[in-house]
Amino acid sequence: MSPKSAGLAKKWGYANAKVYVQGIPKWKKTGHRTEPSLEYVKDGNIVIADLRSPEAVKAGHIPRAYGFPAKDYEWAEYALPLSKSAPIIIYSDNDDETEMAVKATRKWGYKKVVGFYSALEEWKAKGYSLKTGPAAFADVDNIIPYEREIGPGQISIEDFKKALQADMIRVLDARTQTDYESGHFPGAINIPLDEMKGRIKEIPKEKFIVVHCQTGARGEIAYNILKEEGFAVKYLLAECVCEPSGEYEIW
Amino acid sequence: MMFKSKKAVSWLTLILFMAGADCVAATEKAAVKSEPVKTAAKSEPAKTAAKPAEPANVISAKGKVRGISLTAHTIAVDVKNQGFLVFKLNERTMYKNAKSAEDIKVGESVTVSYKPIGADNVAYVIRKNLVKLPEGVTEISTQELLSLVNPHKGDYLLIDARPAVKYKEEHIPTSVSIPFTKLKKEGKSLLPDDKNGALIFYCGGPT
Repeated sequence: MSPKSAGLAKKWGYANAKVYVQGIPKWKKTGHRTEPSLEYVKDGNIVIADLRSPEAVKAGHIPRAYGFPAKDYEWAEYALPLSKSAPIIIYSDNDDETEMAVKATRKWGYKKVVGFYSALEEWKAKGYSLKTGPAAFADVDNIIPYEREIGPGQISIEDFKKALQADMIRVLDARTQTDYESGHFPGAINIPLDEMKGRIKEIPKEKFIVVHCQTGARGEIAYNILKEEGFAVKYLLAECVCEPSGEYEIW
Repeated sequence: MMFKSKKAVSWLTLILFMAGADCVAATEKAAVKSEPVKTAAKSEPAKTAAKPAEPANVISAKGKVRGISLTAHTIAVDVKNQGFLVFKLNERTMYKNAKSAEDIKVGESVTVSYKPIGADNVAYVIRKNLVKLPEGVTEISTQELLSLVNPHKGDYLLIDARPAVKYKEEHIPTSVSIPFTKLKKEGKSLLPDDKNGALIFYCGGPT
């Protein structure tokens, strides 16, 4: 995208158009800071962590923030949402603490972790108000709820559960046979993704198909294959565990 | 009777449920497409003649990666005029401009040389396409950019060309959001009046 933008600028007579070809991935990989937009921190579907002491938090914090004092930050691992794709924004009045917590949270497997440096200054400069009193509380028994937004072709966890219970869908399990045999959704048929093209005729057409795998990556590819073939299909972008008994947990 | 009415209800719900889906009725479209694998038959002879080193009947396709699963050794690519093609990777698959399949990410542009075997398109070579900069446009390195951003030297405009939602989630400090699609549509009024100042564009990496 950026080379094309620079090409347009050049065409319009801008003499000094450059491209940072490596872009955001390289910037982050080399350890440099990024920042979120303030409106996103205010209204986005995100989790906010405040690392300051409970006293500082009481005096004023960004609304919706959870309190995770930096010195006990390791406990946050058990309180953060189950979904590793939940965006997590971390701030403090101490940049080192923010950096430490960002690193730790990424290490726990969260994919969208952003440090919000000089958060309180920027928040106030924008004219947004702080909330006084204790921050929101979360721990291992009160895990932060998070529901991801549904993208094209996806089915929400809630809809999936309902449709499955009402026997309205046929689940297509795109994992390996071994995974499938160790536990799967009720009534699910198993075609591993790498065999999908060749075994497409085995997929029944009388029901709406929902593809799933372990994390959703294979599910999305399978979804696109089946869509091309004209199936009525969606995919489940979620992590799940299925017991041999047929019980399951999705998050 | 009980059974019938229950069925009617669940079909109604199913229809409502399907209304949100971007799908077509399963039966009709599937019947038309009986070929399990899309083969670009027309381009076959020309390609093989040009590349004698590769196995016979190798076809090449260029497009954007839509999905990749290392677990299932599968890569899905959106190919212009052909739609969505799925390739299988194996231990003989070769990579150009990438060390392995792990270096290939969703959204990147690749050229795949493949051969249909049975129901599968087996990838022989996956080439990650490198970015070609338009003439007169120069590249800026991470170090150079860092020296402008931190500490902030005001003499440039850093432009995030990604979709606005991406910018909101996170961006390089001091940047402004002008998505490529917006720039293309709304034109140069989005850029500063001074045509000699440095404009630096970035996005989500080489695509």
